[in-house]
Amino acid sequence: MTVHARGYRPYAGLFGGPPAWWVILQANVEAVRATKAMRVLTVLLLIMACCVGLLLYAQIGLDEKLAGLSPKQAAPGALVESSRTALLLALRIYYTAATTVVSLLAILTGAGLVADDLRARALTLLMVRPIRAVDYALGKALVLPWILLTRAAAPGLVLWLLAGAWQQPGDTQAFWEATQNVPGAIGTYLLLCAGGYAGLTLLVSAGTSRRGVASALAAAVIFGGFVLRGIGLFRDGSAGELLRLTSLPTNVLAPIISPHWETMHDKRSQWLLDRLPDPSGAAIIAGGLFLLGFLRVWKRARSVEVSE
Amino acid sequence: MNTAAPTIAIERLSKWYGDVLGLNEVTADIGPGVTGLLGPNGAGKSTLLKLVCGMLRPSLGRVRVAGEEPFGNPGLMRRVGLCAEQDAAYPGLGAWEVLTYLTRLHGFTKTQARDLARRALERVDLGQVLERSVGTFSKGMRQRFKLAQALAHDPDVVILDEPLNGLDPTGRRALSEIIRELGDEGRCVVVSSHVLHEVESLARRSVFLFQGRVLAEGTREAIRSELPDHPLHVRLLTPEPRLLAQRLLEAPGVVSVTTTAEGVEALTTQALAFFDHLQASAGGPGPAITAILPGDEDLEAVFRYLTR
Repeated sequence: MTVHARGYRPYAGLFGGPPAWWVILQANVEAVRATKAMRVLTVLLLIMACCVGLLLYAQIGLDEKLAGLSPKQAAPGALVESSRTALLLALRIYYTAATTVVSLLAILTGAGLVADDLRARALTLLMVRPIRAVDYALGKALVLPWILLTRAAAPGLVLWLLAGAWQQPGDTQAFWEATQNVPGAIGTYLLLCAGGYAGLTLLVSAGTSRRGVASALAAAVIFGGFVLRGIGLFRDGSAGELLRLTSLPTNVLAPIISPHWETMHDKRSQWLLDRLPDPSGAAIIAGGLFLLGFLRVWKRARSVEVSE
Repeated sequence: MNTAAPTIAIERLSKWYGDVLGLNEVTADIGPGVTGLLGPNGAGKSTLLKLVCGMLRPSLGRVRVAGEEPFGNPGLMRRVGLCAEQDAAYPGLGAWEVLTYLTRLHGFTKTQARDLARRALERVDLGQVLERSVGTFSKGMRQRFKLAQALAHDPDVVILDEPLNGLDPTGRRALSEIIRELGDEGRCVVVSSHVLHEVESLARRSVFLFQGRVLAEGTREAIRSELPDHPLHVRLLTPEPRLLAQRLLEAPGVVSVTTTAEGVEALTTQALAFFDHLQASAGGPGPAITAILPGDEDLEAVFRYLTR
């Protein structure tokens, strides 16, 4: 006798659909976006970006005035270098000012990503669905990078585009060429930010079911590293390569700050450049943290998904 | 799918937790309709359900759900709905929102998932509190929410782990009604419980587990009839108890007859022949029988005999 003959109701549901990690990412981004902290920090970043945008606009206009040229009389390419310097300065100011906000954003949104699921005992609810532990880990790991891309990195790209748009008609192409490294620098900033902050917050978030504890741990690592580096610089003036790398906020800023100081060509700039963390070291730390955070979340989900 | 197979086929399934034996060579076939999985705490019910849901790897033997092995096969969970024993609730999120998210993980679009989630919540009588946070639900409402999340994606295999725990009589009746409907729809519904009378009204078939072993499987009448060492206890209501008692002494297999104020209580070792005799004499002269009530055919009694 077949099960159908015994009254079995055949399955009529779906066998396909979007990947589960995408659904998890979307749902978590929506949930994070709806929080008050997120809205406040986003507005803060927006205000900062607007202020820096105004500063950049004024600087470009001022350079034109100082050169004693009206926009129509300017010789092609005459103001490209000053515009480039103004853009690099604007980016440095924006990203430096945004460091604390970005760190808070990472702490407040990232720390609850897994901890909230653990507290709500929702992992079992999730893992008895057609998803794998890797889907869960990937979905969670991409939440903060997505938030940072739209909140932190994108304003820098907008400033770059605006600076290009504010060039005199004949200078635009020359400006793009002179600043062609800017998107790469912002991209590197984003990768370091995403890797470091997302990895760290996932690591602490998957280790506890209490969001407050996870936030405190993440804050201790982020700001503790920053303080450690500061103490090192205060004591011996250079803080050693390893100590410099403990500061996540400075690590992520390195690709943004260094192009600006490199244009200055003075002793102070050289001194500051020498004290920025090694980019490859910063990348290893960010990548390592991301991998550790991802694996920790995967292992957590895996322990619910299946047991040997 | 192999349609000749039962929906859940369990074959000599064993599970060790280190040195502790959780399940010992369990064999059972579970088809459409409601099946009770019964046994005291620690009998191995949750272990068996986890094996059926692919959350545990069998140590020996095998389990197949809809023709597929569940372990390491998350795709199969599209067809399975699990109502886990423990509570899970996302604090701050509305019931509809949570359920939409969980349903989307089965591959549905957001619109489809919202519709399915709403229908599932309405089915368990939570349609009035769609937007209310699950964290603020009473115990009964949470149990109903758990059932809704197991049903929203329209599975054909529904696993309910202690679904009636902590419910008041009204809630128990309402939930029992839904579970019965699920069975009537042709779904394979497995209801585990350590409270036997809870399942009595729900499940036609039962699997009795005790210390990791299957003690018996089938309908309670069939199981009871296979316990010849324990004579069947039958209560017969009649206005003439003494006369009926005399007649019953002639019935096959009767070992004792006791009169009460309402009727007669008889013990018989040949249940089927005894009832045939009653049926044959029903039309003839003699005392009228107004009701026949099983005295010890309920699950409690069967389980007591099985474990004695």
